[in-house]
Amino acid sequence: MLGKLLKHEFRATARVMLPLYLVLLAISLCGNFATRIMEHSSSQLLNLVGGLTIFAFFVGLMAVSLMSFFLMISRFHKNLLTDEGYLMFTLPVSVHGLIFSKIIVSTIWFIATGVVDLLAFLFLFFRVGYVQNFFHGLARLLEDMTSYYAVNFTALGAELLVLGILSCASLCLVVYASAALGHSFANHKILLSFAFFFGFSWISQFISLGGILVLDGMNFNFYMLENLTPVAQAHVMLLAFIAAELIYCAIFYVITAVTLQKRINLE
Amino acid sequence: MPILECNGLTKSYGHALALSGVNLAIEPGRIVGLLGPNGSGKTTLIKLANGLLTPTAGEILIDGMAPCKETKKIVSYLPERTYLSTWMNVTQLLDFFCDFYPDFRRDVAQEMLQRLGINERQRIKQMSKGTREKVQLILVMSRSARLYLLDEPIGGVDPATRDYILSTIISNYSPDAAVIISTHLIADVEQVLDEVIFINQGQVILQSSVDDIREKNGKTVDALFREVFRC
Amino acid sequence: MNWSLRGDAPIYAQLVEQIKQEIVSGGFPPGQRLPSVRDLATEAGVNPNTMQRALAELEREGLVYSQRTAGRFVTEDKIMIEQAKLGLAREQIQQFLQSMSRLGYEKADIVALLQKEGELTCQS
Repeated sequence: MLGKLLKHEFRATARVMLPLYLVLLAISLCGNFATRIMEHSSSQLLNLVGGLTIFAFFVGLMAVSLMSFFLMISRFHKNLLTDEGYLMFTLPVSVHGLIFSKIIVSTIWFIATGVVDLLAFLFLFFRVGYVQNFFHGLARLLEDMTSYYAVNFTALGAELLVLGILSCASLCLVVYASAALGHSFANHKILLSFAFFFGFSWISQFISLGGILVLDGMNFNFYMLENLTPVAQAHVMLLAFIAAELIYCAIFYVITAVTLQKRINLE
Repeated sequence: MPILECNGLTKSYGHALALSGVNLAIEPGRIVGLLGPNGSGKTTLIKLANGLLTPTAGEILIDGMAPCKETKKIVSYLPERTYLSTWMNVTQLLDFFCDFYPDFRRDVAQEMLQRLGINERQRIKQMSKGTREKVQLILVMSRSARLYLLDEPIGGVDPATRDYILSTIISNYSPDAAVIISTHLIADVEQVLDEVIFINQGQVILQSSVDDIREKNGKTVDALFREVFRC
Repeated sequence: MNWSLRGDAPIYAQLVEQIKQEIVSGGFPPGQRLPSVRDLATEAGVNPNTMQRALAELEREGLVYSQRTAGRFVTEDKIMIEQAKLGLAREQIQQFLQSMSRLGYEKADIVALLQKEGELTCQS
């Protein structure tokens, strides 16, 4: 059933995200032409149009990122916590299926948005040769680092990817937990959701800051790290972050699932 | 075995008691009216049967099971609210129901839509409130479920639509399935019902067959209801 | 057929009466197959179980018989249909007599009135 939930979740979100991506890429192409025209022209009007196009590009970039975030919130809220919830919660699927379908789809859109943003930048600055140079540069950098630091890129890349995915998931889950808790009250649902969100953010910052201070005070962790190679240090740090994100995700997942199962009363 | 059974079912919201110690059993093949004034606990009972709420005490069983994924497969629920995503069109909705409910009869739904002149390409957004309600009813009645829970299906619809809804319920009758209709418009549904359950302030005060009430009291269920719930 | 249900009597009893009327008036002629319970119930706008109960009652009285696979049929026994007709007629007469006696008429006066009414109807 998760597969079917994912399919319909994609159907519901793609109709918003895909057109936005197309618009952004189109603007970035226009921006590309605009910069070329500006280089060779002294006409004030053309320069103004070019400047506006570049401005539109940055607005578009912001809009796409904001939209992927806003869509994550609104899909959870509208689809599960308002009238649509009457349908979703009476489907023969588990609450876990519902939550996972939302996390997975939102995370995929977050990553896709990152990729499209990057593509848009490439489009904007595209000159024959530039892009070639960019990829050459990237390849050279990787090569140098591999030979110099003996970095295992597959491992490091995988760790970074996992960390990235987990950060997206944890962002979703904090929002979901806040919204679910906020909506388990009879009144002021939205206001309480925001209150829970800021509360959770504040507590998690407090704890992570506290954790660093404690470790610092113990003067233990960093001493141990100093004996390691820089690469091993990076690995340890990344794995520690991954572990922290996992715990963070698990806590908010449990809050979300339990609240949706036991405490939700749709209006 | 009853398709729906409540034993000492109690639900409270904070201090407010919505249902207290409800005991009842409904057999398959029955069309039952859940009758009571507004705020008597009808919707709470139906939400509990759908697993949208959890009981404070006691139990509610669907085909012998507490509400869960398995019971949701055999329960078809029409809430008071319209739950359709407004961006979808009718075809997408049919896809959705086909995907999640193995008992959904697409051909039956399509025939009913056609008879009401509802275009499958039309988006929910473009429909009137009345049409949305009809689409939702068609989706719910096109499943061959074991238990239909219809919460106020005829509240606020015109008389022609009301007749259509009631005849849909009758023609969809199956001896394996029970239909529960919650309403406060008793005169309209009386003829369609086998049994009625009177509920007031969270308690069942009467469960009886319609003809028994008419035979014993010499009056309609509607008249009896007005007498019992006189303000 | 035209179904009209009143509020005071049990629904199944009214259904029995109305189907009986349809049979004696020839709306359902002897030997004809009756529509299915579901169709009859949908047409009358009543609960299928109630319609089932009404048909079972008619079966008990002998006006209707069922064949396991083919469905339900109106009896071919014309004498029985005549008897049912007579029964319905007598019910009507009883009701009429009751109403008349409430108006203060004696039996003899009623018969005289009926005769007069009959002559008037013949003339017109």
